[in-house]
Amino acid sequence: MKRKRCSIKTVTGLVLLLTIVVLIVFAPLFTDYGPYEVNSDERLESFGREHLFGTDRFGRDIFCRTLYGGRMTLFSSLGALAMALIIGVLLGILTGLYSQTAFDVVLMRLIDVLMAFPFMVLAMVIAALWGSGLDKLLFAVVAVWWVPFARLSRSIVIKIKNDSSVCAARVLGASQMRIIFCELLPKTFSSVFVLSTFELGTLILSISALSFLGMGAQPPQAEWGSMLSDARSHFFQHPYILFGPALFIVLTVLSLNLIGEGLRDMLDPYEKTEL
Amino acid sequence: MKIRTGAARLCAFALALSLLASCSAKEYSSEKPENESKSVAELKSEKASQDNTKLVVAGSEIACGVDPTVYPAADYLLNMGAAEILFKVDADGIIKPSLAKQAVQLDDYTWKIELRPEAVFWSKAPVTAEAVISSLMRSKELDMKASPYLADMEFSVIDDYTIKVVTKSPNTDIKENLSYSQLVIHNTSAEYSYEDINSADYTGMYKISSFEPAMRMTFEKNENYWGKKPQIQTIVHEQIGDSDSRVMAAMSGQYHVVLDIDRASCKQIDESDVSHIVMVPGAQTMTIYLNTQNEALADYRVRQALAWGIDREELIMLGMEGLSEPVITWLGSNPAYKDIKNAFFTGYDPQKAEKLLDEAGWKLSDDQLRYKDGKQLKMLIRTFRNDKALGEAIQIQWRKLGVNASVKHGDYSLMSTAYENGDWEAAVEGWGAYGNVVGLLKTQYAPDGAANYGKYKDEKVDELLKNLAEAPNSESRHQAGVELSLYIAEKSPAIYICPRPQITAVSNKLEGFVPHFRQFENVVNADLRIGL
Repeated sequence: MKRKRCSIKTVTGLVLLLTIVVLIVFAPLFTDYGPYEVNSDERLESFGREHLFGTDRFGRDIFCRTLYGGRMTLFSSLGALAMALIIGVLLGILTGLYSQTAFDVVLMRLIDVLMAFPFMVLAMVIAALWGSGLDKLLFAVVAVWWVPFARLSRSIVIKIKNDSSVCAARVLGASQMRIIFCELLPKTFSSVFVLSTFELGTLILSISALSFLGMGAQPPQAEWGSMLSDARSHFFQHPYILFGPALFIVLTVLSLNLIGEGLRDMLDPYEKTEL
Repeated sequence: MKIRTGAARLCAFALALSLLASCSAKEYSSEKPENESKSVAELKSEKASQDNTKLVVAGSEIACGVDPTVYPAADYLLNMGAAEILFKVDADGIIKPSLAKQAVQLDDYTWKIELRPEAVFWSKAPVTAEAVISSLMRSKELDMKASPYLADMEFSVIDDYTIKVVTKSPNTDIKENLSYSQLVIHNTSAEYSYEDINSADYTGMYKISSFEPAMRMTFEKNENYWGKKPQIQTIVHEQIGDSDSRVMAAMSGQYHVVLDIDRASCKQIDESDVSHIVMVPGAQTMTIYLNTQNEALADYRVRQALAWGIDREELIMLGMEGLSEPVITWLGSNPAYKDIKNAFFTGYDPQKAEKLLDEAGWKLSDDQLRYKDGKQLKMLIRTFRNDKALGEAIQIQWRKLGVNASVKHGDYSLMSTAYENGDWEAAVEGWGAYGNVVGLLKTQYAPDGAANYGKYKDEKVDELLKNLAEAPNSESRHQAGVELSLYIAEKSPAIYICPRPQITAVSNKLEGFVPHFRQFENVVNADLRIGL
């Protein structure tokens, strides 16, 4: 059997993501400033040795805030993705296992509704009902983001639920729970993993977009989307304010997409596409 | 395949041919352009007169309708020169006659207002004493904002163009009251219901010619205007809600006046070739209202600490791009009270603030936040419109004191709801500080005052308000206002920051624009002219 090798895309993506994660996690080692350190004498400064990405309207170091903001963006996205993944995969497996039952039909129609409902509108409704904040934003994200995982895992389970290994387990008297966790769940892993790398990129963009609209992180928290939003009013005079958070968003999403594509090529060569 | 290629070639050839034909038609047209026969001077003068035909003004809002009793309509009609009030405050804060010729005080309680016999409504109906009283009574009856300004006065007709005013309190400055923008004089005859533009009748130099709600209102020169006739024929007042779009509008050269320019965009507009910035401190004091119903804020030492912990200079720099100047008293942004802007204390003393918080029992913990009986000192600061940066700057300064301050930014409806249900500790808002001082200060500090959001109650304040209302003349009224301001500054039911800067982008072509501390009512004047 031919050994599966990491593609250049995967390696590039991994190196990029690892660099970003290291910068974010060990932020205090890379910056002399604090994310909330205000200096009114140094406001709206351009790139320089003192301030790599310049300073914002409060004289705060943008490089520093970008790194600390990355913690907020990346880790909240990861948290939301994990929640969505657990809910989506479990519901997907159950609907796949009990397909064509009332449970499956109801859940699939719910999925249809959620897919048709604009995510941004849902987030706005939640913000209107319970106020804005990262916790509410993550709730809105999880409420919608489990859908693709549920659909994918359902389709996989429908395909494999009558496989010999599953039938054998059933014949040997394995409980439904055991079949789910020992037979079905592992078989969904590779596809769900690939999907989750793509979804994480989209999730970061969505969370940043909602924070940009003021529905996510609240001041003085540093978050990439809210940093872009704050920079907006000074954009024409001081466009460099946007550079830091924008660069990190682009690089993070790019690295995740590269990893996702590489993994897809590696795990499912029949789906490989060449551009 | 061959047929397809052939058809494509044919189409391309036809297209090229038609393009060539249209180009040559332009190039070899035998007709002489109309302009070519005119001299440069003629063309220039024609261009100038064409340009002078239309003035385009943009703002975040336009009149909501044509009825002056429905807010906000009167302000904008006044601003566009469509409506007039009896007295008007000029750019120096001096009240001058407008639609009225003069007001003469006969004794402590009686005044005589003389009207202008030449003044007429758009319909050419004369502006008589009866018509003016009827207009004021309509405003009093239908307009909650206007009613307090008229509550103290009784009007009667002396003759066609003279009104007698009797006030309940002695020496009420009726000119000040009648200069309130909601009191625009309008024809109340039965045929004018003020439901649409055809059922409105005002006295201004411009008449409303069209109205698209929340989009634009257009005005045409009133040929029957009683006063100095304006030079510009048409005025278009457009609503541009988004602040970035307003900046773009100002820089496009298509708009002559753009109001409500965002503070961060001043430099950008000033550097452009088409417009410049006119910045006047408005008679509106940016205030941090404190919820004195809150357990921590009920203690005046906490309120004082929060006031001492505010570095106004830095706040103005961080939150308002340095476009204003500190005031310590609410009346400080009123031109008539500029002597008490910073009269009482220097304002910023973090050590004193920390000491006051310690005295009040709010001790600093290891996490650099203050606690009392295990409860954290939290402040939720609410902001709206373009005051988010200001809110964040306050948050930064209060956090230095150990206060866990957070900012919630949203539209005004969220603030109103928060005021109603008590879900706030501090709120940043600006109230106009110009007008009848008794009414204004009652609004701010009386227990049922509309701007007393924190429901601050203090017997001494009530007493000072009573003294103010009963002051026999303007000097003693001024003194009572000062005394009240001193007391309020000490007790700090609210913290005053600075006058709200009014930033307007004015086209470099526009001549005759007058900066005014109430710019939102004073854009259009008869001397405006659009140059080349």
